[in-house]
Amino acid sequence: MIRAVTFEKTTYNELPYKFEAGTPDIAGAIGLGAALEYLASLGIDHIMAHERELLAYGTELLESIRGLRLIGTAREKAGVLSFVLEGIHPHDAGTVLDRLGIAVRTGHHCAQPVMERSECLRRRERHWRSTTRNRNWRRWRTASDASRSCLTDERPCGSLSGIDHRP
Amino acid sequence: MNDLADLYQELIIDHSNRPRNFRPLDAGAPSAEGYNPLCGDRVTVYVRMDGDMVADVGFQGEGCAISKASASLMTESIKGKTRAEVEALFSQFHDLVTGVGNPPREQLGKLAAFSVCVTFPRESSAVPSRGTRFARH
Repeated sequence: MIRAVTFEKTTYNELPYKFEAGTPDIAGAIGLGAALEYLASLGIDHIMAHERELLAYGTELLESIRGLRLIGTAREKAGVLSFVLEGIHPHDAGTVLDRLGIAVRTGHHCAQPVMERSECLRRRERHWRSTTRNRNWRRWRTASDASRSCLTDERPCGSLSGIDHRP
Repeated sequence: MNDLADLYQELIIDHSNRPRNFRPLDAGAPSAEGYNPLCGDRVTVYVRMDGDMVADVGFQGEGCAISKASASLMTESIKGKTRAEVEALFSQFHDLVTGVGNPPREQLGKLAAFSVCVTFPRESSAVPSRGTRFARH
């Protein structure tokens, strides 16, 4: 916050007040309200059922890809699928998927100890570093969207690893 | 998809799947380790000099296809060259992959394959980024 503002100069308040916020995030609060209204109009139960259905469908499709290992298979998990592909560095797979119009996140996800626990790094002697790609199923509105993305996965990946990843 | 084929061309896939000189040298050979915490690339390069000439060179480490292929082709390119020749080659290669000037392709040989990295900003791991730390051993 400031102590005084004129056209000639600005004088900031002393610490710590100079770092306190000025205008509150009014637009953010209004936006959050609109988002909650939208979700309530859909119905949380419907959203959950839809997401579960997509997740189950996506899980089944991904499990059919050879050399793909899912990370995190808890029964009550959110609509996110993390996976490693044998023989392919995540950044290469991420680049290919990006060019296919599929959004994934590659890297440590700011959670290196968790990666270590799920043995993503232990495999690196054989397969370089294997971190995971998150696939957020909530971005796919329909099962056919999810299906299309899985079917396009294996094409370029096969040539990258020399492994046949086709289902 | 065409730009993908340019990036993952046969030469690069070949060197990333079957990297050449992918081994440490004898104990005592000078080595240096490079680590980029941003992308996780980790490479150790070993070198044995014979006077002013690179007698042998090897590397180990992990990284994406571009990273690994560039290390592999680097070892092939510098073996038998003098220190000055290697430094000149490094300078030309760096110019190539950062899009500076127009380095002579014929002198770069196979390394010219990495020119496509300029158009893939996220794939510039062939170039030690500012985040890359090299430590000599």
